[in-house]
Amino acid sequence: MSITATVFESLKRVSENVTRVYQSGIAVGLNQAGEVVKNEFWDDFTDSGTRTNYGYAFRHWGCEYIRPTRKIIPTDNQSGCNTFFKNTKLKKVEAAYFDFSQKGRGTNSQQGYYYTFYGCSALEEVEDIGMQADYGYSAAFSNCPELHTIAKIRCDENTGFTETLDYATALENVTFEGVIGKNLNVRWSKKLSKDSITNIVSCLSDTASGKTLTLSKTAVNNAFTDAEWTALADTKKNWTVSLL
Amino acid sequence: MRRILFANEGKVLTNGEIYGKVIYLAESVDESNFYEITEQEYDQIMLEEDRGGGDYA
Repeated sequence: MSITATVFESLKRVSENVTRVYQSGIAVGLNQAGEVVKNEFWDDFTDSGTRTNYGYAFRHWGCEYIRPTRKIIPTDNQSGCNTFFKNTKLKKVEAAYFDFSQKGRGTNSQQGYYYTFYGCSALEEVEDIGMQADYGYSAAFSNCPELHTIAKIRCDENTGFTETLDYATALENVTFEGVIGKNLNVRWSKKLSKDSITNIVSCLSDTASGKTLTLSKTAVNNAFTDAEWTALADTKKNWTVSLL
Repeated sequence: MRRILFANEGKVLTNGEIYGKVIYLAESVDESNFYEITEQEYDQIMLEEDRGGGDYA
């Protein structure tokens, strides 16, 4: 792309109320003297694409979107720890900019998705950024009161869900992929859709014992007839299903 | 047939680990261990269990 084209793109983005050009990930920016300069922030931040550990990387950032010029591809298993913790303005985490599919699986909770998006109080949507089944999602999406869509939570029989969706009061759409083998509590999500509830129940392990799924009574009553819900719940009689 | 427990109005059922207003019991769970608490007691228990942590220095 020519310098002219990149400057045009920069100004176009500015006109879209993206006020922090360097954080929006535009490769060419304007310095304080108004001169066109190469924006080296993302090159430095990613060690020119060689950085492997993104644990705490975006903790307490203050921008609405994080759009690096280089795709963030963590490999270190610590990379899910506090990664976007308390980004209070962050609105969306976009798949075009993040790929966690190569992150190593953790062997303890802090090496899983630990408080990953905790306290992102303006966060509305997390696209499928490739998070794979991991040790757990401890408080990963906790205290995100505007979060309405989580495209994908991959899990297996051993994945933990301690406080994963605590206070996710706006959650409507979430898709689990894999097997849910441990207690899951989604009681705060009164707007959870029928498809999402059906998906969650369908992912419950067929062999787990002594486990509990907790759902919002309001969400279930709004989504299902009594007969529909009873039939769905009965597909997983090895699970206690609690409505609160 | 799956056993279903219903809490009375304003109450929450619990066995100390599981909480609910309507509880579809797994086959392995003993219903005799469940008792009712008030919603206020339930809220207090949840408040005390809320760690609110993760903010590491």
